[in-house]
Amino acid sequence: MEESHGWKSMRTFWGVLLILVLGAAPGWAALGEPESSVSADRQFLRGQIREEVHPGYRLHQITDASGGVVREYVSPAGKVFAVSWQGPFVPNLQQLLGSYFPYLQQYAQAQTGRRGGPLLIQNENFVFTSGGHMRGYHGRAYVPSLLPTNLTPEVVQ
Amino acid sequence: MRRKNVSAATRASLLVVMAGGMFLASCGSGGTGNNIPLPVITLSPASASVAAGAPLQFTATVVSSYSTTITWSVNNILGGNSTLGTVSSSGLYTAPASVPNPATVTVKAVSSAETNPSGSAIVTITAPVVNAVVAVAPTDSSTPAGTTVQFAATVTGTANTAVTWSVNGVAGGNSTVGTISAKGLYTAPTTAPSPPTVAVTATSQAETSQSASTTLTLTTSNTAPLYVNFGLNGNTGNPNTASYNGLFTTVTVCLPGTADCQIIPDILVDTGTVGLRVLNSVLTTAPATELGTVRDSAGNQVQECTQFRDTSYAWGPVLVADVVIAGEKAPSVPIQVIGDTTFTVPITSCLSLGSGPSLDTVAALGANGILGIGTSIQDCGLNCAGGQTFSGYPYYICPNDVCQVAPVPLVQQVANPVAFFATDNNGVEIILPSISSAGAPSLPYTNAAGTSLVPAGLLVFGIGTQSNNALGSATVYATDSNGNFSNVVYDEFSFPSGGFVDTGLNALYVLDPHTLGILDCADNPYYCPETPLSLSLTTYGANGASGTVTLNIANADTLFGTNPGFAAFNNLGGARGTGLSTDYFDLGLPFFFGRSVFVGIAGTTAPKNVSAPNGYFAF
Repeated sequence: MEESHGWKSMRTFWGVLLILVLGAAPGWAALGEPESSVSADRQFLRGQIREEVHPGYRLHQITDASGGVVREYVSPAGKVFAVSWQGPFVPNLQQLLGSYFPYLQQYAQAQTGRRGGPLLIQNENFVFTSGGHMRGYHGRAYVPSLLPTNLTPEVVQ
Repeated sequence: MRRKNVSAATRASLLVVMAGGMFLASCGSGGTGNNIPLPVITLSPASASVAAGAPLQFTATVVSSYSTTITWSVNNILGGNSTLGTVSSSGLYTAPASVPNPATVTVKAVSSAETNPSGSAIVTITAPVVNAVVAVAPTDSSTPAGTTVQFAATVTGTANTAVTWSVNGVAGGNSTVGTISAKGLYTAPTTAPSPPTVAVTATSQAETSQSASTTLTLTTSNTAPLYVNFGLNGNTGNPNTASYNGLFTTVTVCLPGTADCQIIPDILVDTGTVGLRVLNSVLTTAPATELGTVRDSAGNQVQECTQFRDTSYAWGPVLVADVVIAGEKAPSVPIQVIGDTTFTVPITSCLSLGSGPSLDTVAALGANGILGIGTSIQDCGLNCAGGQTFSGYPYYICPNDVCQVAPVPLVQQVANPVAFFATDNNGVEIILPSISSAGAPSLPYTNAAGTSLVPAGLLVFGIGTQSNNALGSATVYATDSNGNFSNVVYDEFSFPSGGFVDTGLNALYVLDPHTLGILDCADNPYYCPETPLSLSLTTYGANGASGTVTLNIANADTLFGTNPGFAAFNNLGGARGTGLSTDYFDLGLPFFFGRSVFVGIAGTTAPKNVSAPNGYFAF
């Protein structure tokens, strides 16, 4: 097989990235966290952020160079109540789901064997979907208790 | 003693012994020469046991000086009946199909002579005992048209182990379905029949009710059989864990440039992923340690963390193998070997992406591997070949045992083997037969008698390259940059980039319970509408093509409850409602039954002058 070129010059680059990742670890959480955590996500995802103000919520949309899009929905109370993603990769869900990641782990790990479908979790604390296919994944998650009272989950796109 | 057979019995043995000179002589010697002796009848056997439904021949021996006719009865009923068994005019008793109560009957032969002498025998009817057990090997195999396959039948439980061979119920077969010799050598026809799956049956000659069947799918150089079943975990009996609608084929993996190959069955066929992934644990004659390696310029072996939509993941090295399917060969193509533990999975990235189970065992994967034959050449593409990495990036190197993400040039990425075939390399055609709306046990399927055959599907390589993969009237849908239809319209609702077709998806996941209002099943992740639904969608390609697709969704609880052993369903829909605006129409395997679906690879010239830089679906 052909060897990859320019590796040595890349090594420094990856080293820096790794430090960024580790350094960002305490501030990873997004879902359920204050709006300020969005910027940590942007740093981690290394994408362009766009802010939109909608009736009843604010939307932060982070687009990276792969075309992947992560959306974070912030309530008037300043909490990220929902996240969604679409793109060629499933983003790091530990980063995106923060303190809600264990809900996903617990449910997903309880699956025995490959069933061949998407993953759907719905309980009173945490709602999650993950589907799509290689190079085209999509998913959404929200916390029912953080959903602003005048909104329905359909705002999460 | 003179014997005269007075019966017209075809099977023999009603004997009437006419009392001839010897008897008379003996009488005469007693001095009573004028007396004519009375007939005496004896039945043989005098008592017997016979299995329900089985025949038993009686012989009546009449000692008489007269010509006499015999009538037969069972429990004094002339000729018997279906409950007690029947007896013919020649004394052939046939036991009833089931054991009567009481289980003992009396078979009687009565002479027409004066005084109506008779003889009787006691028959005990027993439950039928099946001794012969027949097994046939190889099971559910495939062979190219025009070749031969030696079948073997194993018969146990009876001394006579001879069998009679048949193909599709025809003893010895014929020129259309292939012939089979008395010794089980099957010779395939030079052209595969339609459907291309035949049933080969061995029937015990000792007990003709006992037989065993298996299927054989005839392939041509660019076709491989497609099997639908539960996969290697079998039917768990639990809809939450059973892998309905699993699509499988057989792949041969060879050490590059050698004839050291391993035939690996039960490989999942997945148009939703790209590249061959094989479990390390199943590689024996083509072991991972002898496959070619993929390294960066510093000598680090490339590793991959493959994500799947259900958040499960596969970790292992990228290695190089020759991949052979049917008569096509992809030389030196990068594959992923799953479950090679040379390097431990990087917890902070791969594990947190793949929060679900690691698919590193047969039990976890339910297969020996995954054959990804989707719309692209590489599994990642330019996003993994440049200087940038992204959240969810799949490729790693592990210098000093510390794994970190790394760029990998296109030629080193895990790749679609089809794109590397010498011919027929622009895509695939998936052909699955129609099945009942009640489902099917599996594909191919045959019962022990070789009937109720549902043929295997066919994976045909190439699109428009041979007579067996012509596009015909199929509509070409160029996929968008996400690998999806550019738009799906349902009931005036428009879902941009809202769907795809995927053989690796086990149901029709139409993730919009809010719009569709379909009832979820209470205890499993499928849909349970009160009555079967028929959804009409309009699908759009990025090239502007459009067409109507009808999806049928039945009540999954009813499907599973009616036929708990069935693996194949053309109307299984999901999934659980989440309250989210989940606007996707993901058309899994149920969509493929009764269709030919083409999946064209990006970068090839699409048919019908369609511009499809990201690949295409056609159906």
